[in-house]
Amino acid sequence: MHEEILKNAFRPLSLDREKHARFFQCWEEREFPKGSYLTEAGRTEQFFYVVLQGVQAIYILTREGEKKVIGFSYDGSFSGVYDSFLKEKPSAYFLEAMTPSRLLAMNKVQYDQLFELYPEFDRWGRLVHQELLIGRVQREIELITLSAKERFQVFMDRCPEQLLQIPQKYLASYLNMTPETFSRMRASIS
Amino acid sequence: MGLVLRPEQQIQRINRLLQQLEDTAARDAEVLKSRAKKDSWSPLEIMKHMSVAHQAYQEKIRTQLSMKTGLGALKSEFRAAGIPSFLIRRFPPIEGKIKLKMKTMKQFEPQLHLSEMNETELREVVQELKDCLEELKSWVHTYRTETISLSKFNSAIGAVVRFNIPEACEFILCHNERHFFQLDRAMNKKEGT
Repeated sequence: MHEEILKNAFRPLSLDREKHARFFQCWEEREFPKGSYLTEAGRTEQFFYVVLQGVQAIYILTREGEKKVIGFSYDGSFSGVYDSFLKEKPSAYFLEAMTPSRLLAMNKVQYDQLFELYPEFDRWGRLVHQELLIGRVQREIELITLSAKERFQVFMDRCPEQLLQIPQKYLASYLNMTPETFSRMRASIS
Repeated sequence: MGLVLRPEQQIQRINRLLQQLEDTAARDAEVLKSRAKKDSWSPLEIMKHMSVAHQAYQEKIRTQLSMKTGLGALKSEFRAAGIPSFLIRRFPPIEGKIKLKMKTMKQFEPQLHLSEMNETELREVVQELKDCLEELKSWVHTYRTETISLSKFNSAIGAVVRFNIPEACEFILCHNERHFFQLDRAMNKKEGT
């Protein structure tokens, strides 16, 4: 079942079909139409995901109801509201399918069992959390120190093509700029 | 200026109430049945009242939603008209206080025989409210993602206030928030509203 995608997502682990049979068996494929929620704010995240296809946005609502986009997931990446999933507490965020989405999902019991069954997952856990932390710090630095134009440029340089298919207001929110500013900058490079 | 209703915010607020209901339902039966004062409602009576109020709109909203015209562009907001906005704004608790005091009409009073209720009947009251909240959320999901009629219908108090579906859902939600606030006070044995 989507063995290559899973092997790729869990690099640098070297996953073997026989040795890690339980790992490959525990995934369930789930589909979400465009605009539907994978997770609603106020509900507890039930799954840890690997994206097969589609773009998802994670965002929080301000007191006034404005969306503030925190991040995206897309083909081949992990997805889910990770803090809610780990702590088994209601999520503060919405996770919404920006495009029709198919994902592989594993529940919390299965996720915890991976670390008990396979000691090598501890290494994966250390690396993935390390990457997450470095990524968040990097983003915070960019938000604090870069101008809107620089943030736009940095984002466009590393942004996967499929992210550019979603409504610009989500990308603008992620970069902490107005949709008009984002649109003007995008027009200037095209 | 009409109140802006945002489906996503409504969903988040409903989920908050569902969580509060789950936490409340975990308490002992005696706590759920007991009244802080002789003339105040017990937590179970407050729950029943919310279900009765929800059911007063159920048929109207179900009928109107059954005439929906199919999938449309995602709706991020609706603007409520003047009179519904006026009412809705004053309904939920603001900064820990109920600003607009209201007398409950006879038809919305909870009819429970608390002293005779067994555990099964008690759980039915909780489940009924949970079902109402889930249905309210499903209505919000529907008008967020599908094109619906926004024609008006009489509110539960008659033609003096008329709602379309998003306005009615906001009203029900604010009414629930008001009574969950009361529920919280009743659980902590403070005076009800």
